[in-house]
Amino acid sequence: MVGAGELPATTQEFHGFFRAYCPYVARVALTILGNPDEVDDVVQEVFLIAHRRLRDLREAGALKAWLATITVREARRRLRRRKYRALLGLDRDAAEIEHPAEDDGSMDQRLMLQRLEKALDDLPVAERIAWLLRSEGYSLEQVSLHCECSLATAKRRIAGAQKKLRSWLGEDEPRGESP
Amino acid sequence: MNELIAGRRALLESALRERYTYEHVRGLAESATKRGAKRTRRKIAVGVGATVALVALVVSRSWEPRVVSPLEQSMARAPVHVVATPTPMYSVVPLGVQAPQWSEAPPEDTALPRIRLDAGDVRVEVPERLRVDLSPPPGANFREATVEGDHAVFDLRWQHAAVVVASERGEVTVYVDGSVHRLEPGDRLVVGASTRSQLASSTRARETSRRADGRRPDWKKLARAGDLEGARTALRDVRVHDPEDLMFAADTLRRAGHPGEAEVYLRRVVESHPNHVVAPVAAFTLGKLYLQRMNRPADAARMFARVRSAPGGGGALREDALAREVESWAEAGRIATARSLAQAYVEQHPQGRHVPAMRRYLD
Repeated sequence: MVGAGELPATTQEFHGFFRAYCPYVARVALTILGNPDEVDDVVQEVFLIAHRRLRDLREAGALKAWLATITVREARRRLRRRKYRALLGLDRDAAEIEHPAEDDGSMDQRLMLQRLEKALDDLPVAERIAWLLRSEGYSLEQVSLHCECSLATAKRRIAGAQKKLRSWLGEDEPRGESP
Repeated sequence: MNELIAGRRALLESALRERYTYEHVRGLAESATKRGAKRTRRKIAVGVGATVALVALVVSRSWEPRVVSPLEQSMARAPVHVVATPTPMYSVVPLGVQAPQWSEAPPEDTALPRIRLDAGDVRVEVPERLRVDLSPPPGANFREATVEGDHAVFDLRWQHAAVVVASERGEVTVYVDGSVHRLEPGDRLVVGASTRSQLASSTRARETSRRADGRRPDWKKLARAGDLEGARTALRDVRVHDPEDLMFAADTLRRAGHPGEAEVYLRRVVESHPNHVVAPVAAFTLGKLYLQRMNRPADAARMFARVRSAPGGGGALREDALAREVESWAEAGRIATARSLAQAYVEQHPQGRHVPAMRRYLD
């Protein structure tokens, strides 16, 4: 098993590395995509990329952030593809994608979560990702790092998404509350 | 908004917990590795294909075309580690191997058979069970033959129209056109010779082995004298039957630092003498061996469960076996099973000495 801060050198160690970081990558992917059915593919892609490029990584301490950045990149690609497919009528509307919220929770909660998913799907992809990462507790610096943009751009995306979501979800203007 | 996000997070995490079990993650890892390997192969094929084809074209003019044997084909599909020495015989060995088939990739701790080819001889090391189907060589007087090994090591040698099966260790059974031959360590059986000479060969080998027994040092005496390696060497030439002797042999091999060999003897106690008084001890020892020395926690858990299901409930070992089973399942990634067994432990043994450790699994 490869522990945190170590880079896998052999296939066996890579399996250990996969097991150690798979849940983390899956969590980041699911946060952004909101659809469990897509997560497996993202996880596999991320680790395939990691497998190819691991030797380029010089600092073992940056491994987790590096994986998160790859995951965000892969999730972004999928969200864009999802939008294009919806636009061309090749796919179900993004808002209709089954969501775990449909299996659990009260009716009010389910409806609210469905509205949130719909609103998230209507956001520009870059704003969606930045806002979701921030709402999950990532610092602004981490958001800008994983989104591969400047700090100012990250802030602007988060603020833009926040404003739109509040408007669409019928919430009042912010009172010092931020995601 | 924050409440809504918290609700989304909770639901997504519950989906994640259900989805990303140990088994699933392992399957994903296998699948990712295969996809990665496939891509790498494709790239290599595209990148150097032309060069290789050119070289192959030139070289093939001076080489015989290579025949793919049934053995090689089977090996390509079976998850078996093969160390092959390509020889002219290799491509014409009339052998097919049925290696264990898994519906999915075997667990990491699965001991795999080792099959080594050398100048037409085949050496088979079987940590668990393996069946080798022998196709009759030209001129052989048998139609079908199968060699089964159980925790065994045996050699196959092709001699004209016959195949010689030589057992070195473990349980080796040879099925030839409906007849069954059980070989003991040191026995040889010529498959393809006349039935009479088959038996003569086998019996002669056994008699030779027995005659040699008189000159061989007693493994038990050596073990008691502390010569563990000597006892180990002597053990290779004898067949141990008595459950207590099997336990003694296992202890000797464990102390000598050969857990894999000790496992063979412990398994024989567990499987061949399940009602004997030492069977729960053997199962418990085997469980510890798997857990602590052989990195096979799932097998360990099954052995500890076996202690509990033994006649008498495992006696004094029952409580410890249950605690060890919890530890093993947790080690194997079966957290839910470990947790429910930890709960059972706390309920059955509220004053038990493992209660603090068990509570850690319940938190």
